[in-house]
Amino acid sequence: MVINRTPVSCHGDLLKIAVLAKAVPDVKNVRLTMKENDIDTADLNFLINEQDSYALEEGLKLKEKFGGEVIVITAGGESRRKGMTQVVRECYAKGADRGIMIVDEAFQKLDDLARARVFSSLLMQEKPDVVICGSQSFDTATSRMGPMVAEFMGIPHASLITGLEPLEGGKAFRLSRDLEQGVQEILQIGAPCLLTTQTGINTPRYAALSKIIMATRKEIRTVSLPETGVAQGDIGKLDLVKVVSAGFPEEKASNVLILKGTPDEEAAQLVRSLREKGLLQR
Amino acid sequence: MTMLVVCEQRQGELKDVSLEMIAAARKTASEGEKVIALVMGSGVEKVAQFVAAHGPDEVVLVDRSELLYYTYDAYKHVLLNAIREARPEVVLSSYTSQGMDLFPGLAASTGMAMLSDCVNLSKKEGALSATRQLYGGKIEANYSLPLPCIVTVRQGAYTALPPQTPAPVRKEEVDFAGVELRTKVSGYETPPKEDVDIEKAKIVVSVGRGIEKKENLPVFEELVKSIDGAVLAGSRPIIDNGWLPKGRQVGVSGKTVRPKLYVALGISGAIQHLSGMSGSELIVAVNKDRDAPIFKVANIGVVDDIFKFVPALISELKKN
Ligand SMILES: Cc1cc2nc3c(=O)[nH]c(=O)nc-3n(C[C@H](O)[C@H](O)[C@H](O)COP(=O)(O)OP(=O)(O)OC[C@H]3O[C@@H](n4cnc5c(N)ncnc54)[C@H](O)[C@@H]3O)c2cc1C
Ligand SMILES: Nc1ncnc2c1ncn2[C@@H]1O[C@H](COP(=O)(O)O)[C@@H](O)[C@H]1O
Repeated sequence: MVINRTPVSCHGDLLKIAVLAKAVPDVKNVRLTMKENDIDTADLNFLINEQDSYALEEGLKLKEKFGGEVIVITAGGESRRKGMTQVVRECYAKGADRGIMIVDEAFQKLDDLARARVFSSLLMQEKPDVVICGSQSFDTATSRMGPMVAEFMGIPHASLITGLEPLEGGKAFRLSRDLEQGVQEILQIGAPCLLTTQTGINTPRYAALSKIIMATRKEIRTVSLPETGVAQGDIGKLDLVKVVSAGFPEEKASNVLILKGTPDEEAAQLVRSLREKGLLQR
Repeated sequence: MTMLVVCEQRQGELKDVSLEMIAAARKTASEGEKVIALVMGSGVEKVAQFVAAHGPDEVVLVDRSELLYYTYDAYKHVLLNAIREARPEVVLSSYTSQGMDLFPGLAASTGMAMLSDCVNLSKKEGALSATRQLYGGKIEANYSLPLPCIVTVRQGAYTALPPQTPAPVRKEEVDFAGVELRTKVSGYETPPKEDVDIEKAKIVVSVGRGIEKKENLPVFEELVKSIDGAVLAGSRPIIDNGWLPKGRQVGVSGKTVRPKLYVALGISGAIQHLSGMSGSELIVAVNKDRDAPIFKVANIGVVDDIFKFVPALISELKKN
């Protein structure tokens, strides 16, 4: 078997890297409320999707090695503009060169298949050598976007990568992919390609304070859905999966016994209960 | 009408979850609807025979050297053929690393609706409905997919059917002429053996990102020392950060443990973690967020700060 490569785009030796970074609501330690089949995000902070910070780091490392540029792309409804702006700025502060925000309320309501078409249309204008995204969004967690975008772009992909070693000056990669039970698959792929990162692939850098301040002044290109070049008809055909209802899951193991009191009291109750069950010696 | 179940094997070994998928299809299929199981690989005749005895109406076997390793291009090619032939209303497979890699692209390629990590499948009025979790398990939503569609199903959501009279296995020839394989797999790496076997331990104390930093580990190590037969394990981020060795990871991409007692400290309870420990006999969870999904599988819960609770627990254990 040989690796057949689609011709590499013409950027000389420099690498053009696109990173998809999603702004997701921070739901830790907050009481959520529902609104129109989703959570109400009005009072929530938005953060970069954790997985995407690994994707960005991998992109920045490639740029540092081979030269080139890192373009960050994020998308969401008008109500998420602030969160998305923060995400792009964070990426700027870490070293991203350009940011593109697709801001359109219509996007927010689309099924991922249609969203993937939107991303691929925009990406086809940019013609990157490598597209890197996270393997999963924290909020919707469907792990669909990367491979869908790759298929629409007509480029190969590899998902859940835990290791990346550039070959041929960054025009091909030796990868490890995360399978179950800690098994890693070793594979090779040629650029242009799309990779989705798994946690543990790297340790994302922190942004220096000076760069954070500079990042607030850097321009972000904002585009609407039609400006991505996506055909309206495509969106209609691909907007297929619909949310019917949403809410809080039933407490299935509602037999969970919540211990009450100070830490000392809780600890005493727990130890008593475990001793009764014969789980502790003595 | 048919449902097509895509089975998963690696190096001639069937993934148990594939039998759950056949059960899922059986349960979801309408009256008289045929369940076809697709087995592909190289030298996988035996796998097909085994699958045949677990509930499908028919097994389609595609056995070719190009399929020795999973590659998106080769598998997609086989699936496009199978879909063209069988015209399934639903293509169903497991939400595994392979499932994540293969089916979203197949949806983009065919224009079929696709959803992953589903449970509670049912068919009504030309649509498939499915339930899945969002926001790390804090929210649950019901979805509707127009037919034909593709779904990947959560492991453990359905129980495999007992062995029964085998269905016929039909070997299918697929022409690979002109198919480009744009990725090349060279093999697998398995994690090295560890000093401690967390799968054999009677008591597993597991720490999550709630411990914040490596420097905080000693207090949890002390807890483990004060419980006879206990070992220390962790959620994936703890292992990713290099705070504990790989062999101590609990979850889908780590180990599955079923101890008599599992203590989860500062672990949120993401599905990938739960699938590695929810079979434990007694689960104790300590988390400061009352809404953390870990409490949905816990038997005893403590809603508190681990840095306050664990020292209290250690001193309580030291009392007689
Ligand atoms: C393909 C794939 C495979 C994966 N495989 C695995 C796997 O095998 N194992 C695994 O574990 N994960 C796995 N994951 C990752 C998984 O999705 C979660 O990201 C991970 O389990 C979260 O770990 P955590 O609960 O420790 O961290 P978090 O989700 O960050 O949770 C930390 C928790 O600690 C609580 N907390 C914080 N501080 C305190 C305190 N002082 N006192 C008490 N509580 C506190 C918080 O309320 C929170 O609930 C996988 C993901 C993917 C996509
Ligand atoms: N709205 C979005 N904006 C930017 N990137 C996104 C968006 N949605 C998904 N992605 C990317 O796709 C990856 C997988 O997401 P998902 O398929 O939603 O689990 C994420 O980690 C992101 O890199």
